[in-house]
Amino acid sequence: MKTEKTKSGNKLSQQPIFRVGVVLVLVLASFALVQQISVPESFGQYGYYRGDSVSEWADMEVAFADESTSCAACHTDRFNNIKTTTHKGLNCQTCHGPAEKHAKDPGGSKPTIEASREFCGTCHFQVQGRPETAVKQVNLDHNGQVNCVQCHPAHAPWSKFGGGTK
Amino acid sequence: MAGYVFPNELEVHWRLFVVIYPYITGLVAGAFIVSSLYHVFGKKELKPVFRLSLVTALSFLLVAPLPLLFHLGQPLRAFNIMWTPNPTSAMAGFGYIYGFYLIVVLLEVWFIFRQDLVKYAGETSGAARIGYNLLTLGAKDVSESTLALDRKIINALAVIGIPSAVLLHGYVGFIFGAVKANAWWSSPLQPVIFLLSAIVSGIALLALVYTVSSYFRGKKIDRECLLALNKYLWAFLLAAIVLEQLDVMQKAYESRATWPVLHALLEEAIPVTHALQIYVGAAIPLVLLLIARWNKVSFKMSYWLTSLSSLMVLIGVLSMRFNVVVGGQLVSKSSQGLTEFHPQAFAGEGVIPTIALLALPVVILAVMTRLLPPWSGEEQDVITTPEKETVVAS
Amino acid sequence: MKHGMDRRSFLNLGGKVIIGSVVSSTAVLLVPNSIKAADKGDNDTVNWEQVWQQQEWGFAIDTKKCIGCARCVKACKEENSVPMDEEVYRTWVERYMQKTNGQMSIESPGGGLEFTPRNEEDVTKSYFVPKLCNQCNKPPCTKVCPVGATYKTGDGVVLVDRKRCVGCGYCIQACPYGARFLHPELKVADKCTWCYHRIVKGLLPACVQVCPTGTRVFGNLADPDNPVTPILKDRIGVLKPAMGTQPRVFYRDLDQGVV
Repeated sequence: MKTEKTKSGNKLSQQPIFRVGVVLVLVLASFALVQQISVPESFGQYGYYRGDSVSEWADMEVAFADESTSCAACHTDRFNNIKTTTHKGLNCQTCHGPAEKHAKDPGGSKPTIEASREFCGTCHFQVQGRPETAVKQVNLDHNGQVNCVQCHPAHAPWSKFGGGTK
Repeated sequence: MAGYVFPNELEVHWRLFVVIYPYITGLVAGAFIVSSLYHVFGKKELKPVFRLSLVTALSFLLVAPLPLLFHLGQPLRAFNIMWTPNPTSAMAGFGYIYGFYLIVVLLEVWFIFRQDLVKYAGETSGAARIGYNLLTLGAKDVSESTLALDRKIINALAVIGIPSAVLLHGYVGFIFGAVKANAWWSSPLQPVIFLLSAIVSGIALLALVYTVSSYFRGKKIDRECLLALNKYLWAFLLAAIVLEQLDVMQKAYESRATWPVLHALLEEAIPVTHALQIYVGAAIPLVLLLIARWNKVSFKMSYWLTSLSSLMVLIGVLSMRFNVVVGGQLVSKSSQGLTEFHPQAFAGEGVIPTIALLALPVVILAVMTRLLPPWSGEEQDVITTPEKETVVAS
Repeated sequence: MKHGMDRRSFLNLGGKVIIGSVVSSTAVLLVPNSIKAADKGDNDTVNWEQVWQQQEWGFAIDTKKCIGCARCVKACKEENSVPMDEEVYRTWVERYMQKTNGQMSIESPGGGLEFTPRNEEDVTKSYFVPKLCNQCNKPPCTKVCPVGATYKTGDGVVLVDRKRCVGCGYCIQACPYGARFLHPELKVADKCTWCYHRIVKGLLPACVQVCPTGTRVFGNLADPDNPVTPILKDRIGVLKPAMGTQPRVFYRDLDQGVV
């Protein structure tokens, strides 16, 4: 590394330290170059991350619609009615599933509904751990194997017994 | 203990590839330390293996990133760790620490073998000649003044290499030891334990490579050298196992809320590999290595005992890596149960690809010892065909 | 200083370039982007810093109201394209049953979608607890990410950059709550985002929206009329406070047995 090295009569350019130094410099310089161009443009905009990532998340499509604007716009009566029943706390999509597609293209995509006993039972069967006061709960074999909705239409569970709307 | 594990914990994320990653870097760090014992600390008895230790370190170092790379969900993005290393992440250091260490080892190997490269470039012909010429980088000056400068650089690199090796492996321990969410990993002793077991595995590997290669090359084993390796292996092994057990003992004695599940881990989930770590990997070798150094034991016996102990230690350290990496993930963060790990044959970092990755550095080493014979002090007879000799006490 | 000349004469060309290159590449490394960010100035993208000043999201869970119906678990998977049949969950529901012998039995079959009625007699108390990402104030997951692919937004949500995550899994190891997983299809880390794509549009997170009992409550803490603040005035707890993560999902009536 010292100037005295050249005194040995050899050219500096043939010295091992020089040769290997050149290789090392080339490797490090090309790395620095590639590193420089490989950092995403918006990286560091808000913090140590790619700033554009925030917008990418924000721009993602939703699957569950806003019921008060989407569902209520067409199914106005039904929407208003259910809000007077014991099921008023439910969102339409709690039972019907995600409906944003349907809201955007009412003919193309239809939400489905399960009307089985088991489906109603996800909330209404007696299950250990389920707080007794939160929802009306029945035994698994309440009224045999009759579908719940025959007596308790989901949109107005107590209508056939004189309660709620319709 | 079935207990409760969080639903997302049903799958173990860090599998066999992540087990062998710290294993391989450990072997690198350990093998490098042996060459430093010779170079920096003047342990002249290690002269027969110091070049071998560097070539061994390089062979394993080249393979070290592969298991990590194949383990990634997005291997093509691996270089993100170089473009935007997160300053608060222990893992982010990998790219730069590894890169730096690779440069140090490559430089040291190059300077040590430069004289040989120049010689082979003159002796060989055809493609080999071109290859060796390229490897010399055109620096063919082997005058005494240049070689003297080479030696100075080699010493400087050896000195730089020690903290680099310590950093490379100590940081791997920190990756695990600094995860507060994991009761089995979280320990300030982890980096030290990883480092010591790294040195242990590296010395054991070198002892084994030395004895096995000597056997196949029909060369005499240097008694002083082998016993020195034996001595260092014993000392570092003792330190490693003491710290490993101290960590577990402390956890058992404190008996925090997480101890019952850790206890169940040792008793029910990893009893076999834990026994391998403690008995096969430490207790038995500690005795055998001592016997091998006993002056009433023949050198042949001593040779076999040291080789066997080295093999056992290598198995033990691999078990230790498994017990840490996989074991820690079996413990649910709920502290209420253990999840299960069932390695497959091929898929999902399976057993066979793992064995292949472990064999790869050995293949590289075999090739490298052909291209750059590292057998110190016997350069003159590397070209000759090895004649079989039995190993006898010197 | 006169040292300058002396030193220069000692260094040969190679040495100089090596040092220069190391220094410059280190400099590039240390100040990679502050410069780049400054000259960005796109008009077509939102300036999130301004948006974040107006909102601070808050999440509360009224544990006594949870009936374990797991509509939240299902809705979450549907809203966020998390494979329905894989054992990965952005949110899940646990059932706790305190046995008379003092043992706590915990389960979350199918993330809560497969609870069976059960009727065990040696149980002194039993209840459900919904879990999700706590969007910690001191998130260990963002700290350990080697590539800066997971981060906390200014309005309090931890997100994963799906285009830069390398899928190493370190954040999954670092989360004390088991809230993270490797997305089986995208092969990147995934987790609850409090439905960031919904809340910035003024919608509720899907789990909150479908919850039939009002167990899950969400709002903008910067808004004086938000529904979360009244709950925070009650007796609340957070999960694993000793981890020092400062979780930001607040549980009303949190039982000590909850892990």
